[in-house]
Amino acid sequence: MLDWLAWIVVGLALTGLVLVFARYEQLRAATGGPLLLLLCAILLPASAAVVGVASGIERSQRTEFCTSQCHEMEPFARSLTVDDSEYLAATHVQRGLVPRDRACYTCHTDYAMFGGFKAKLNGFRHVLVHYLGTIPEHPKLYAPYANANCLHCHDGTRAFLKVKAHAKVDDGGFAALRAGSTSCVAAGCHDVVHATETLGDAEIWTPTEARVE
Amino acid sequence: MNTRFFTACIGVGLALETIELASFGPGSFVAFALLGIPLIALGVGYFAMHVVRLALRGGA
Repeated sequence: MLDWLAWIVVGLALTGLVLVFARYEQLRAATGGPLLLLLCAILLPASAAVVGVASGIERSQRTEFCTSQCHEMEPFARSLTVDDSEYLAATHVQRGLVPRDRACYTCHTDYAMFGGFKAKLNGFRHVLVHYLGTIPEHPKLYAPYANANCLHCHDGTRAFLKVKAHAKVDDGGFAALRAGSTSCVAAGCHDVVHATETLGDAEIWTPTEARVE
Repeated sequence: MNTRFFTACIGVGLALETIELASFGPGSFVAFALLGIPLIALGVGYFAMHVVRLALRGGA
């Protein structure tokens, strides 16, 4: 919806700008011309910028945005399609535990007041590193993965509460997980997330519908 | 007033926005955010200042 609106406003703004460029003096002198000038040279371009930013931010939440252009993101995109339930990211996407079209954003945005803003800043940092910095062979998170992101959905669910291993975590059990003193993705727990280093020959799941023989 | 200056600023900004809308990628979005928006703001601001100056002179 925002995309269409952005296209329409940009189209109108460009048309108005051509009009201003070609007929500035005539418009200034004509009745109602100054108002048209205000519309074409101020209101439409400003609206186009606002709608463009809103549309860009909305689109930057989509999975294809994160995985579309940068080669260093290819293994992460591939890890979502692995045919192995050990891979946490793949399981979440393939079982529909997160919205497939916003998979990256759902798990990599802190569920706090400025979580979305921080995620955007990190994304901006990624782009700067991509164009101006040295791309690491195996990109890592800037900060340890926050348990709150997992517990936002899992805490209180039957599947989470019934796991005895959760009660035994570092003698703190569920409290240790909620406090974040033991990471959900710690070694020996749910540590195969994207595992891009070991993706290698992993089998890829291709969505196919079952058929009646 | 330099009509070419402000129309060029806004035009380049809108062109970057068009590329961003068409290409759907992080690079074009950052280019629009860092370059396109300031250019649009510069062009719009330049024209707005001209309008204000005319209004103050009573010649709008």
